[in-house]
Order: sequence, then C-alpha cells, then structure tokens
Amino acid sequence: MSLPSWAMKLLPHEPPFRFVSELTEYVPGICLRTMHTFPHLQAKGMGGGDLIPEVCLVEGLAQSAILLTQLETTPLQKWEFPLLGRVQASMCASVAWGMKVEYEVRIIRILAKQAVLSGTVYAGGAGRLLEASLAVAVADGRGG
Amino acid sequence: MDGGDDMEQLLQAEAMHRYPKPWRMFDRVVDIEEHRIATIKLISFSDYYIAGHFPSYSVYPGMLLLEGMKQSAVLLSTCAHCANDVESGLPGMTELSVRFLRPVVPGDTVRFEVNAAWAMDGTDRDRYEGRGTVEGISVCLASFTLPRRRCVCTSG
Repeated sequence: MSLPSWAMKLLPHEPPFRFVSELTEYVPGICLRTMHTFPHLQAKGMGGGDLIPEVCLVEGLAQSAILLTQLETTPLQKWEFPLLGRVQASMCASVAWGMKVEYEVRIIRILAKQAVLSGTVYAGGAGRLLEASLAVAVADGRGG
Repeated sequence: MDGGDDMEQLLQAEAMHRYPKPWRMFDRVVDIEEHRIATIKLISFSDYYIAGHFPSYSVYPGMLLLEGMKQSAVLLSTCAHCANDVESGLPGMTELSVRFLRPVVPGDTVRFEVNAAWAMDGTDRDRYEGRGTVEGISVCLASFTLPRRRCVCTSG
C-alpha cells in the first residue's frame, strides 16, 4: 500500500534518539516495514564501538511499532506519549555502523491505546539480526 | 570508609568503565560484591539522548534503562585486577527480556541492582537479572545474557 506522506510525522522521536527514517511498506491490519541507516557519525556518541548497540536496534523496532499502532488506530494527541511496556528479544547477529537496517513489525493484538506486536530486524549484509515481541501503550500526560 | 577510600574506589570504577561518554548509562557504583552490583543513574533534562525523547516532553528512554543494567553487569563481570579480559562469542546481549513498569523522568534517581544469576550450560554466556527502582518503587525488570569474560591476567 502506498504510504501517506505525513506518516513519518506520526513518530514523536527526534535525533539523537530517532532510529526510523523511512516507511517502505504498510499492509493494513497486518504489518509495517521501515528502515534506517545508522550513520558512522553517530557511533562516537553511542559507545564508540564498531557495532550498533543492540538497544538501538530494539528501540528502532519499538519506534516502528509505535508508527504501526497509530496507523491502525489514531494519531497521538498532543498530551499523549508512547510507552514501551515489554520486550522479549533474541539477537542472532550484530551489524556495523553505516549499514541500512530494515524493520518489520506485525500485529498480534491491537486495541485503541495498546498493542502487542512481533518484529524482526534485518540488515543487508548480515541477514536477520533479531526477533522480538513487544508491547506498546499510549500514556496520557495530563495526569489524573 | 573514609572520603579518600571512597574517592579512590569511585575513580577505580570509572577507570574500568568500558564505555566512552556520553554512552555511560550509570553515574556511580554504590555497591559491588562478587555476584551483585548496585549503581545509580541521575536523570536530567540535560541528558544527551532525552533531547529526542521527546522534543516537547521528557521521558527517559526505556531501552537506555536496559543499557544501564547491561553496563552495570559488564562492570560486575570485569576482572578486579585488570581491564584486559576478553569476551567470547557474540558481543552484547543475545537473549533479553525487559518490562517497563512506569515512566522515568528528569529529577528521578534510578538505582540499578544487577545480579549474576547463573552460567548458561553449554554456552559461553552468563545470565543476569536486573531491577531499576526510583525511590524504592520498581520502574523496570530485566533479564539478559552476556558473553562470559575470560580474564587474561595472572593476578588474584
């Protein structure tokens, strides 16, 4: 399905903690595919190692899950913010800075303000990097 | 412990920190034993990564809480006599499970308590259990595996 041009604006995360840069495919009711290239320049601020930290890959998957949840339900209101509730993940490979990383998130269960999803992270040269299940929710910043 | 010993221990812990700034997800070691470490992280509006999480309101990223527990575990597993021990196998966490129980915001002080739970039979990895609390209230629970470190020095 062609993606609306405004869809990336649904993601409230901004650099240096934004790990999704493009939506590549959306199948309503099923899944969302996104991608991001982790620039070499960012490596120094994130551990300085040769490999992208695993928490950044999981966070990119979680950000994709937040996008899919909004596409399936309603956009976040200005007083709402997304919360990660639970993650279970298995890493099977690591990937170097500068590589294009692709995320796929699939719906397991989705409600108005929370969702349970499964996800996979891939990288061109390294194949499948990790598989995960995630629970995300929307919190109301107005309190009470 | 007097102030001199305290400072010496803190400097020693900082010297053994494996990660360059700003990728240091705890600020201080408050207790360390053979199989257990407690660290703290002070959360501030001026945290580098909080600028993007989010621009108009601030919630400390949950995955960085997990990174704080991982870094605490790495320090726990580092040889007390040298910082030159080597990892075996795939670097970083492979199996991880984490639950976030409430948001962490600027002004909070997170205390991480990480225990070396057990060595995984037949692998080169060890399992760790971690908990993050703010004012005694749990904010996150995690378990994860890390490569077993092999000390290459002859001390101790």
